[in-house]
Amino acid sequence: MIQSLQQKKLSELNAVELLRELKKADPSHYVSQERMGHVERALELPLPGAPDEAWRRVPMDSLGFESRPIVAPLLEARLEGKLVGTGSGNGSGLPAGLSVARVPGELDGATYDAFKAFRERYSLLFEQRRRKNKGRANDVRENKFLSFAEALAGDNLFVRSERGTRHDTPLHLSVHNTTPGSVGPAVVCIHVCENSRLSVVVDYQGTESNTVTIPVIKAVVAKGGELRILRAEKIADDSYLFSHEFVLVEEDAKLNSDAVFFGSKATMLEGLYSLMGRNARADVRGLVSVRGTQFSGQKLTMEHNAEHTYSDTTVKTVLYDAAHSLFAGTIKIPAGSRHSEGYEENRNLLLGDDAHADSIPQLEIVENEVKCSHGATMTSTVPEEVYYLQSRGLPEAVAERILVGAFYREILDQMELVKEDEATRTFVATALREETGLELDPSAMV
Amino acid sequence: MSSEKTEVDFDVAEINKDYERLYGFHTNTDYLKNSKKGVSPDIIREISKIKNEPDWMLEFRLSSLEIFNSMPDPTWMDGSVFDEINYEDLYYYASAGDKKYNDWDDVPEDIKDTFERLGVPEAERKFLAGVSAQFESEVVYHHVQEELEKKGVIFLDFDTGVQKHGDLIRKYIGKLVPQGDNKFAALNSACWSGGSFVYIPPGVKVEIPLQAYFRINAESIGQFERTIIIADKGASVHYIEGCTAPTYSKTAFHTGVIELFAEEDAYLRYTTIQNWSTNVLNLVTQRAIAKKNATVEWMDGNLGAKTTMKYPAVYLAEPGARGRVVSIGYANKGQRQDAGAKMIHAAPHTTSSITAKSISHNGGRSSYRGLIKVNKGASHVKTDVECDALLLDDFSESDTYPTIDVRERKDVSVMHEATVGKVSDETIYYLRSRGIKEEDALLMVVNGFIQEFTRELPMEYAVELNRLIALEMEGSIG
Repeated sequence: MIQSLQQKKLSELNAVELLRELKKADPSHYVSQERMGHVERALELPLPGAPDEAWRRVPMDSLGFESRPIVAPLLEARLEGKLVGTGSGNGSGLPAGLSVARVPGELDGATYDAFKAFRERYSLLFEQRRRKNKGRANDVRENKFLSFAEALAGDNLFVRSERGTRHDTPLHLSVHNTTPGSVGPAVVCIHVCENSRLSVVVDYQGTESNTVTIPVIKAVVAKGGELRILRAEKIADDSYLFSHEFVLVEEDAKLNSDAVFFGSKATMLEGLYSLMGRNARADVRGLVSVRGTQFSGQKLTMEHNAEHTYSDTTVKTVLYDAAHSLFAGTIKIPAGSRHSEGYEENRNLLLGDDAHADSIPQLEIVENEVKCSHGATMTSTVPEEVYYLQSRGLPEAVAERILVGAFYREILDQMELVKEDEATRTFVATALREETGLELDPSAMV
Repeated sequence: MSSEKTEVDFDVAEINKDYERLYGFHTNTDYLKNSKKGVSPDIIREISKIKNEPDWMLEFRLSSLEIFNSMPDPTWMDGSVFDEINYEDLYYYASAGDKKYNDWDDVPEDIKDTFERLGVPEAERKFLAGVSAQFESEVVYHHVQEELEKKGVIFLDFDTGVQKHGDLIRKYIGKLVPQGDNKFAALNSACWSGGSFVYIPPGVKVEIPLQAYFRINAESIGQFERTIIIADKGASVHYIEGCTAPTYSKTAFHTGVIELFAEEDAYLRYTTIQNWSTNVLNLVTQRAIAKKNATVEWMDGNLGAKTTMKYPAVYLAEPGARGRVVSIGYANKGQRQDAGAKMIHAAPHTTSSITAKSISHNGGRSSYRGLIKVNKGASHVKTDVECDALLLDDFSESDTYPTIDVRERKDVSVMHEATVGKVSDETIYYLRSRGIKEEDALLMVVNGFIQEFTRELPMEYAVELNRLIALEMEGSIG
């Protein structure tokens, strides 16, 4: 967040003023053409909605976006519970080969070069994928929230894991807005260098009422690298989270993306995962649990932009009360991406009498040497299954609970970071107990 | 439409050249010379006057025109599709009496040859070539018509329907597809012409499929057809529109509205196979309502047209209603088949199924776009969607855009599955090892792929469709 713009409202700003402030705050090269482009879009675009089939379902009636004061959200990094400083190696609390920097504040010397390398690689790959994917009617490439965050987020985080280093203990990044009534933009950039492995948990957790957080995560996973990332969200019932993610996965690299979301007034995750090189692979798993009148949506796009790429997306949603969920997943396989395999699955368990689930699983295929499928189901607990458990002497309520628990466990057990990271395991177990009354033993998740 | 020729225009020209080679159709456009282009209240009044329509119909048309003029293009699809339409450049009414050829002897050999290859019955050939507005074997069909009349079945072209059964049509028209439903439905409501009106009285089971050709004095399939079919309590009917034989249209724009009403315990099946020439934009609104224990089935085949947008829908309004859609799409070079189905479960104990098969070939693009909606209160619902796409080469395209919207949980089961793939080399190899030529092997696989559709067709249609697919696929090997 640019200091001089603190507490200003979007409705009070104009492009000229904004650009002047941005240049003043950041005389370095970080104020790129791209960022300037975002300024105009942040001001001029309408709130996301039709014709975007996913965003038009997101409830934003009482959002009042433009009249909310803009603030800098909390943005910090922890390792094993301890706050880590910025920089790398000794003194920062970070192991060798892992660095965290504030952008643009701390961009100097080696950090500047590292960030520049990231930006150049990111832009190059992004341009490559743009050229590969011809436009479709359903693609809505511009988004006010995305541009808002890109243009206005100031004190951002840049995480880099050096070539050949492994970081299995997850780095926790907390991103959330602590000022009620406000809107907070944030950007996190992640560069997983060649043959490196990085584990990151992004915590969108907070209890503050009526906040809007707009984070953007941009990541490059270089050749042979692996990014394991988990997003854990639990914010107040009257708060909003609109997150964007772009992950570019290069040759032989892997993305392991997990998300555990507990809903809010409106939580939306828009993710673009692009497989840019041969043998690139992405496994995306999501668990969404919503109750009351919460809304939680995921709009995930998986692009196979190279040969021999593999993706598997599974999102499971449990809906209580009058909650509303949305899954919009698209697999794109452009011409030339032969021998690619893309799978997508969305399972919804409707437990609330007034629950409402939307599912839009999409495929756009222009290559025939591929294997591609998607499936979606929406059911309540299956009467036969309940009956079976009852026939074994279990009361109906217990039988129901076991089946719902099994639905959660099926996906949780596949999430590596939930299994490995105790903080996350505890978070999931606690959140589940608080939100749904379901007792899932965290130690049993190992 | 801009006068500058784009790449697409050249593509279309090329397709039509191919079309002529394959089917040899030319159309005599003299009859268009006396018609006026564009649409305006005056033209609507003129159409209505020519048809000698009652006042309410004229008002219906005029109010529809107002709605049409005020409506924007749909936003959920590329604007490019709609940009091509120049409403001012269209003929909104052409006389039904146009004959393409005056004598069977005048019909070029290659058309006769196409009919021969498709196996179109002798009687239908002349009708299709426009030599006669009726079948030669009129006696047979006249007999059919008499039988139907005895049972109280009304089977007329829509114009005659308005004249003879105005009250009935007035009660039903626009009930499922309101004038303002979408821009093209509004346009159709303003200048409809042609189509069928069918009413089956309670308890009457029509044993043979009703075909549009059976109508005596049938108007040829118009570019703004309007069809209403009502199956009263316990009635049963199968209606077939369109044909596998190519339908050449110079007018390049077709937008129909079809409304089906299945009352309690009724059974209604609507089969349509369109094979418009590849310059036509085919935008059709098809909607049905199924009352208590009624069944509605749409069998939908899309082979022709440059762009097809067609999503047959069933509104399952009362308990026990069933809806089913089986569709195939074949997108060849330059074609776009954007088809799908919609099922709206508005009552408990309703079931539906959608099977959509699409084939993309030579750079064609086929899409499935569908909706499953389960309203609050619609418990005990079962629905499944299966859409499979076959890509015959590596530059054709296939998209799947389903939407599922569920607001009820009690014993609701919604399944959706989609796959995309190619004909595997192993399959072809296996068939070849049995001594089957590669071309034939591919054709066998494709015919097998769409079998779920063809087996629902009356035999002669199934045979024609298989032959047509063979014709479309000619030269696809090597």
